[in-house]
Amino acid sequence: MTATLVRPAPSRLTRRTRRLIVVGAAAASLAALACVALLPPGSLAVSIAKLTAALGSLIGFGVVMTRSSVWFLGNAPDTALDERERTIRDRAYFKAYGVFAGLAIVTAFYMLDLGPDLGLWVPTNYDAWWAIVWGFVMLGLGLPAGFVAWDLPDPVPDFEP
Amino acid sequence: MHNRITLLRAERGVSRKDLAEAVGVNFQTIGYLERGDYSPSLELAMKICAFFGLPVEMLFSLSPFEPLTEALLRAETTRPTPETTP
Repeated sequence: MTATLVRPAPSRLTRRTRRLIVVGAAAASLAALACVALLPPGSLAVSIAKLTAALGSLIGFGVVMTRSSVWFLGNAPDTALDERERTIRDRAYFKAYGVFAGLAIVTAFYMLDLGPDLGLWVPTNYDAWWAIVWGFVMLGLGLPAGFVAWDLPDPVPDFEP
Repeated sequence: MHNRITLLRAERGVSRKDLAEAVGVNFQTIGYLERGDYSPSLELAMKICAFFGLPVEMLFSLSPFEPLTEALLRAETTRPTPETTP
């Protein structure tokens, strides 16, 4: 099975670059959510902000994952990975689960109890609900790869010392 | 975890890819081992030792290895001379 699976070239990005991209993509996603929540629904500004933020997130995750070992590490079967790669992947999924579950619990409490009680913003329109749903979809799909990108050390150069 | 993989590879003319294929890991993993970014499992350490045909304590150590030149010098100075050999 290991022999038939095509392994992509190792990521050429340094750890620092990957971390900057992950932070940028996360900031773009948060900016999209904030725009939908704070700006009047249906306005041109909201549409432009959503489009810009969505493109930013997709490009960010795309740069990290495309043709790199990051995506491979997050999605390849056990038999295609060695012990170091399995350790990195398992650690990334463990962290991603913690963040995802934590955010889901906090969001549920906020929307059902804290937000209405304190008179804070809660989603009331179609756009706001979809922004939250897509936010969780993006988090669920992107968090493990994001943590892999964050944790993976600088690549080892190809040349032999 | 400290190791002498780089030294042994250079000494025996083994590439990272060759060693990686022999012990069943990605060649990047060998690079991370050499750089000290990853500590191997006992199984991987034993496979690497078997590849080089050396005991584990010669390849892996929890404390830094003595530089090879110093070890050679010490061996040279403690070597018994012909007069002292029975």
